Amino acid sequence: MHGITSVGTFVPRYRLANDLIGESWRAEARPGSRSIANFDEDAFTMAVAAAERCLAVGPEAVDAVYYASTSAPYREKAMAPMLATVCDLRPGVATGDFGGSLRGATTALGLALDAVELGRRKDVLVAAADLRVPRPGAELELALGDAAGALTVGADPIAAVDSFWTRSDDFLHLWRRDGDAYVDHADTRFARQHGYLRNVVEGVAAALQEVGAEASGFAKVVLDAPDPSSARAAAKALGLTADQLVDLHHGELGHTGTAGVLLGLQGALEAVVPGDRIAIVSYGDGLDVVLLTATEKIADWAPARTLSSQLGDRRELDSFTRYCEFRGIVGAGEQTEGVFSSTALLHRTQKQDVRLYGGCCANCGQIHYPIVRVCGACHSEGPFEELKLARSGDVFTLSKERYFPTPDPPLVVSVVDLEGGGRIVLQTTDCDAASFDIGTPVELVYRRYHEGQGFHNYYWKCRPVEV
Amino acid sequence: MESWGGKIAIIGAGCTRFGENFDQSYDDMAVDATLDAVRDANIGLADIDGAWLSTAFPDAGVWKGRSGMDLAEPLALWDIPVTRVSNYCASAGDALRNACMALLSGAHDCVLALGVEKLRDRSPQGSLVAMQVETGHPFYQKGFTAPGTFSVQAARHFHDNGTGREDLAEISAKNHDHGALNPKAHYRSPMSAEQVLAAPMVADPLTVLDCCPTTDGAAAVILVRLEDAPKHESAGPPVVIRGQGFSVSAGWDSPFYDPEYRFGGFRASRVAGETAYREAEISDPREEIDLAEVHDCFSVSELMAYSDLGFVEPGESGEWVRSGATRLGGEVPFNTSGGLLSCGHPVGATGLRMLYQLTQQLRGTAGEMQVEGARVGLAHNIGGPGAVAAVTILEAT
Repeated sequence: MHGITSVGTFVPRYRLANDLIGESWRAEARPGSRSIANFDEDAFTMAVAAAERCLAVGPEAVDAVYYASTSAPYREKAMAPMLATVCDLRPGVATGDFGGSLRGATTALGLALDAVELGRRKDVLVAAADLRVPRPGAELELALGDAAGALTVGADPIAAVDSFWTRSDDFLHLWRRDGDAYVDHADTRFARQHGYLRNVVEGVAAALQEVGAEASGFAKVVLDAPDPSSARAAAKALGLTADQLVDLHHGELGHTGTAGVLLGLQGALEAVVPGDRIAIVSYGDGLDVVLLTATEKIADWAPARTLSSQLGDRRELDSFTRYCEFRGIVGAGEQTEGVFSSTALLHRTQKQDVRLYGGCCANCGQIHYPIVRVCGACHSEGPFEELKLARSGDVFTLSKERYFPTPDPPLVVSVVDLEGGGRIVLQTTDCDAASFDIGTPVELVYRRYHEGQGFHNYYWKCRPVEV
Repeated sequence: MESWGGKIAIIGAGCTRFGENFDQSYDDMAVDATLDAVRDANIGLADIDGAWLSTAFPDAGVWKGRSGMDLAEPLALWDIPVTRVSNYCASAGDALRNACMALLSGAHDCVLALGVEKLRDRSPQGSLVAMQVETGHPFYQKGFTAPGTFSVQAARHFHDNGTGREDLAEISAKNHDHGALNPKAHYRSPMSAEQVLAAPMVADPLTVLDCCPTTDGAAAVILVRLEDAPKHESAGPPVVIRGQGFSVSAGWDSPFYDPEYRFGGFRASRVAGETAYREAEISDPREEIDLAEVHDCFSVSELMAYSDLGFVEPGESGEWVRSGATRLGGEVPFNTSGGLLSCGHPVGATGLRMLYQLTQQLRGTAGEMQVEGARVGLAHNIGGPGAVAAVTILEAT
């Protein structure tokens, strides 16, 4: 029996109230909000966070990593190998990137299932994230949110996959051309009728018929939809009750692209008991319908962070201008390409700085980061044992920098004592600088520092565990 | 190791005005400070048989100060060894040390130590802030500005010793009051502690008035072996270097990444201070030292220097400054020149500017800044994130 062995999700901490968007355009006030990735986040860093949460309560090792996104930060450069490194996976794991399709998470899931069922892979990690930027002032501005999700596929699952039904459909619904900054879309009502509803109604019927199931037999249905109105229309057409539908939190987060169905999957897994059936309906240039049954193992499984705790862990953006600055729509956009960086340097220190290893002096036990050759504590030449550093700690001291350029001033720089040893200096993010102080517990998050030498320079930052 | 305390004398000291010297080039300031010192020593340029140049950041300007050539060229001081010394903000203390070593070896008889820094051909944010934004390791410590590397000290000092922003403001106000008396200082306005507290934040808890300004300037001394001092009829009596300690006790990264380091003090300052006291045979600095020029690049550095140099315990430092003990007329006046907070900090020149100021004090020619009966003075010059320190003890003859 194969299926889903773990799930993790990541919702960025910032929310932009639709009221603030409305105010900026002198439009009518609208309820709800959108989840907004911080200025240092992207569709890669969010995927890292979701993958780490998935692996924290999932399999100990994976032998393949698939990454799906319509908004990956590189056009040419694979994300899955980077993801494998940051998550400190075995060097050389099989990887694959899935771009372009909003259905990418389930496409990857389907291929992961194939690989596992064929016996080619044992445990596969699928991570999906999106940070899709709507055109300022356009309809989509109230609709798109940022998030990430991850799952693992393997044997002895918490939810067994009973069937995976898929069909492709060449329909121009949402798109972003090469070189475009913003997502565009077809006429809303046309696309809802002829793109979304047609695919969902026909597809779900076919998928259910294939296994002889009824829609009413599912405890939970993850019904992906580009907007809440489309979701309501589809639920009605399929005869689904409110109890069956997993809340995708469109009102608070917006549609989170490829991550949406994974947020929904976690929502379903948080709610079901062994024996409950789950359906995932994933839309975009066609349809994937995944039918699952929760196993006995679901009773012992809990996510690293529940969806409700992530929804509560939020900071409000104080202005629409701040949002525009985060996305580089206004402001200097931080002209950071002149910052020194070096591919040679970064490659040389990949284990230390990406996998985040320190060196433990065999002579005196002092944990050094960065790794040294001669121990500053006992002056011996070690040897130094490489040691994976904890992703959490406490602030020993800090500076709140008003002159270091950042879209979110002041820039807090923290000296962090890591749990289990080692001290590190990190930029601090997702925080309220005024209340951030010595002793604050922090977690490490992988973020973008700058664009030195014309590539994305990622490294660790810290953020308060909760706000 | 043999002590060299008491064997070297300053016979001449010179200094330009410190400030935004928009009318002066690097070369102009190098020439002015050197000629000022040469005249004070009553020698000729041709008497100098070796020279050490201290400049910390040649990249901030037109790449002057990258080598000894940049001292030799403007002064046409050809055919003698000239060495550029670079040890961050303690470069001048290091230039002085190397000049002394050359005299002690007997290879040289009359040497020059010159510090020059030209920062204001660029905006402060275009030079020093840009340096920390654009250069250095892509990630390690990325986000700190120079004030930030000291605000982490302040945050921890407050936390561990019960000190606070008011104590820092007291130091800054005191040094601005002193600076108002110094004709060569960058800032010449008295300042209240309230003004310091109300000033804009730079790196919490440091306001802009807790930070030294970005300044141009140069300072120089002429040194000989003490026994040779009488050969030169210098303008004022020679001043003896009774001892110097110089210590590199951390690196650029290690103080921040060392899990054992508690912040709120600098090992380099403590080690350099202990060495200097041993050389100068000082057992109770608070009793035996009449005045001190310490490296108050940020107000918190002076607070830390009180305890690092053995005047008080860390927990007493706030009370000590609030009592007025370190003001002009107090128990041990600190930074009667106005310190770096008022004079400014042309990086490579600062440590030698301190010696210029102490030379005046110990000769009794410091004017309104004069500490009555001053016989023994201390100069404290630190570099990097408190990683390098030079402590020099001078005595009047």
